Amino acid sequence: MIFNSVIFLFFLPISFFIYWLLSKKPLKVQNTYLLFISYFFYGCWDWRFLFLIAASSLIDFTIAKKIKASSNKNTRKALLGGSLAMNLGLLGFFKYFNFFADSLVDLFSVFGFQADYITLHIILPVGISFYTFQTLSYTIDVYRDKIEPSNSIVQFFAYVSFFPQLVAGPIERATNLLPQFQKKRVFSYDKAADGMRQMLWGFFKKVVVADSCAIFVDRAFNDPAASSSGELFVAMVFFAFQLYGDFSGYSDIAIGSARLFGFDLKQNFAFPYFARDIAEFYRRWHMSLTNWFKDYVYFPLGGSRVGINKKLRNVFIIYLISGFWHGANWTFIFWGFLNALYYVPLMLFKRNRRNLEVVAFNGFLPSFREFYAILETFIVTCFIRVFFRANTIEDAFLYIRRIFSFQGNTWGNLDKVAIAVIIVLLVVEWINRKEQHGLAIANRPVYVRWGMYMTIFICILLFGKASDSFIYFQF
Amino acid sequence: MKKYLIKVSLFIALCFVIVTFTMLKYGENIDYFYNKFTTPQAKSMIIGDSRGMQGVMPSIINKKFAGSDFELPMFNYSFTIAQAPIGELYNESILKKLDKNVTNGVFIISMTPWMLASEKENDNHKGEYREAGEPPHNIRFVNMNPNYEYLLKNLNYFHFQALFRKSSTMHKDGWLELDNLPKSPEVFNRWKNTQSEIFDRMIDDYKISEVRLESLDVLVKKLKAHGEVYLVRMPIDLDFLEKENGYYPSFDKDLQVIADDNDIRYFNFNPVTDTIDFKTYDGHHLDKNGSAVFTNLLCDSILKYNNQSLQNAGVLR
Repeated sequence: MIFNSVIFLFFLPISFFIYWLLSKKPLKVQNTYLLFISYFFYGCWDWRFLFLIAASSLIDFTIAKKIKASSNKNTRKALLGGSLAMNLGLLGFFKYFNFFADSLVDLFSVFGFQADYITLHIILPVGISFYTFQTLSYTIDVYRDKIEPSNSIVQFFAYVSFFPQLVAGPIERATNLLPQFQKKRVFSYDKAADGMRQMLWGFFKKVVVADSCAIFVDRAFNDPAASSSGELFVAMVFFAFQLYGDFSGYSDIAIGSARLFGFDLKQNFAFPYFARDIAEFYRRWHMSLTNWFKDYVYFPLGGSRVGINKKLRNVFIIYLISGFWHGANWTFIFWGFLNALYYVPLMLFKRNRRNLEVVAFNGFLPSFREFYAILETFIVTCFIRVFFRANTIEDAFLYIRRIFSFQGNTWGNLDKVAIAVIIVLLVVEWINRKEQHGLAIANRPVYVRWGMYMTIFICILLFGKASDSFIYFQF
Repeated sequence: MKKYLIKVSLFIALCFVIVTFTMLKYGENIDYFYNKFTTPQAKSMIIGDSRGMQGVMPSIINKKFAGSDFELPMFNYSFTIAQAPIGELYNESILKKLDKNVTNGVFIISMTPWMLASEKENDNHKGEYREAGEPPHNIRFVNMNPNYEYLLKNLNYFHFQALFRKSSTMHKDGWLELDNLPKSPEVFNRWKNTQSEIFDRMIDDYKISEVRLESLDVLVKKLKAHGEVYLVRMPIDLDFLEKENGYYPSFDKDLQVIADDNDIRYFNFNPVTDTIDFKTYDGHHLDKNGSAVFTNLLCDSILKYNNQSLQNAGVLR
């Protein structure tokens, strides 16, 4: 089941009503119900992979308890190693097996050997990268004594499979989400109303912005040779909005849905296209993943409190792993590498923590310098993203070469609707850039709020496109 | 919670009003099929694929047959080749749309070889049909206005932007009128090439289905209980006709066999003669004028055939 489907429009209200009807029952009943609907939500895609989630949850539940119970350092380490091996092993098998097999065959052929292997047709279970990281963080946090292991298997299973964020995040930490399963949720009007607003904005970003841009983007990226330089440039910029609308839209719907059930998930996007440098950009883009890597990889490697060489090594490791997390393809690794290259000068000149505050915090419009910095960051990230979108590294280089060949003098059959909705997106998000999401308008007058709700609904009705997936499902 | 429910209900109610208004006022423009499911049960029907949906105009038939014994009005219940090839699913839907009290209706079945073809990987004997899951087979209610069931199950078919830029009109009688048709030979040729590619793809991917041919026979028999049935092969450009005949050489013969078995008439309007201007906009589908010319000719042919039959039977002298 996906958020932008008719079935979800029925699933959500029905689940919501039953959930709050059960609010007077014991906590265990509420959690069992959440577990049931979450498994139903996931099972609508492929019920067979429910066993994978259940197995992953059960192993981490058991290992975490054993880690807590043990006082022997080596035993604790071995148990943590077991959890890491199991989680990363599953991820590696389902996501990376074919990649490594292909790469190995290619490597052999370089040396003149013809290697054969059996290619398995492995289906990537939706959301495996997300829930694996979530269970991993739980075990690591228990190991680090940051959190007590859960005593309730239902609570823990519900935490791992919580349906709003199960398939594409935000990647929640046990320290934030698990305690919310340990106490009864009480209905809050403000929280639920704001959740609805965030969901509405998420739907707008997904079905209007992302899916409108997708048509133009797909055409250009599928056959760059058939497009003019102008078309390729526009498609590159549209891809930025497609990706943002798709993924941040999903996050908004997820966070909003969770709020309807009384849960607070972490913010996942904080208006990244208003970032003034790449460091700020990644503090605002897919924040749950960035913070995960920071806490569980970057800091353990020494972070930035080490010598310059190690600092550089750590930056490259983080960005390369981040690229690899996105998919089993060299394009993602190269994309990560380019991000690291772009980040390194900032770090060397100690300018990576220059822009911690929201842009134009004390005013409405940015200064010229800020505007230029925003534009530059945006354009450079767009070029780097060509590697993220292209099928191969060669395709990406061809794409960029064609942009700079200035062939053809057209901008293509530009979709005016796509341009208009991008402008609406940017204006609304700029106005609310200090808030948690683009439609955080609880304090505005009632006519502004309702005017916005109905305008967005009409936009969705008029300009919404039907797609049957989200980009980040493949990761 | 009460305050929340009131406000959410208000929001949903407003959305509902907007959607209902749009469907009632602009249903003919925002979806190619929607209007077909908002009309009462039909007394007489045109059945077929996109060729029939655009090429046979019920309004002309109603005028031509006015004063006859036929139970009218005529309704065009054709779709496209993706939704409605002949088969048990389409038969079921046709009978759902049909007014069962009718005994003297007119049923024009516009046939193409593709309507009797199935994708190679589909085994029709096992009930595997490409059209399953598509409208009209995925809805229960075919006579409801506004039709919320169709909206919910086929949301992806709607193009609400047509409120600003109309590209088609699905008339209440089921005839699809397309706007923005090619005005220059270059565009015509481009559209024709696209159609040609579609034909080539179907030739590669589809096989003739005995099950569908049997379903056609079943359909004819069922419709005969409610009136007169006519099988029709509509005119297309010669090069497309060659492709079709190459793909299904015994098509005309098979249809004639079914027609003879059921004592009905098969009208084959191919190959097109130079004396009649059946203008298509892509070599395949008749444009508005071509449809009018063709429908008039079809009506004349039916009337002529009926008169002949009556004369033969000694009713007319």
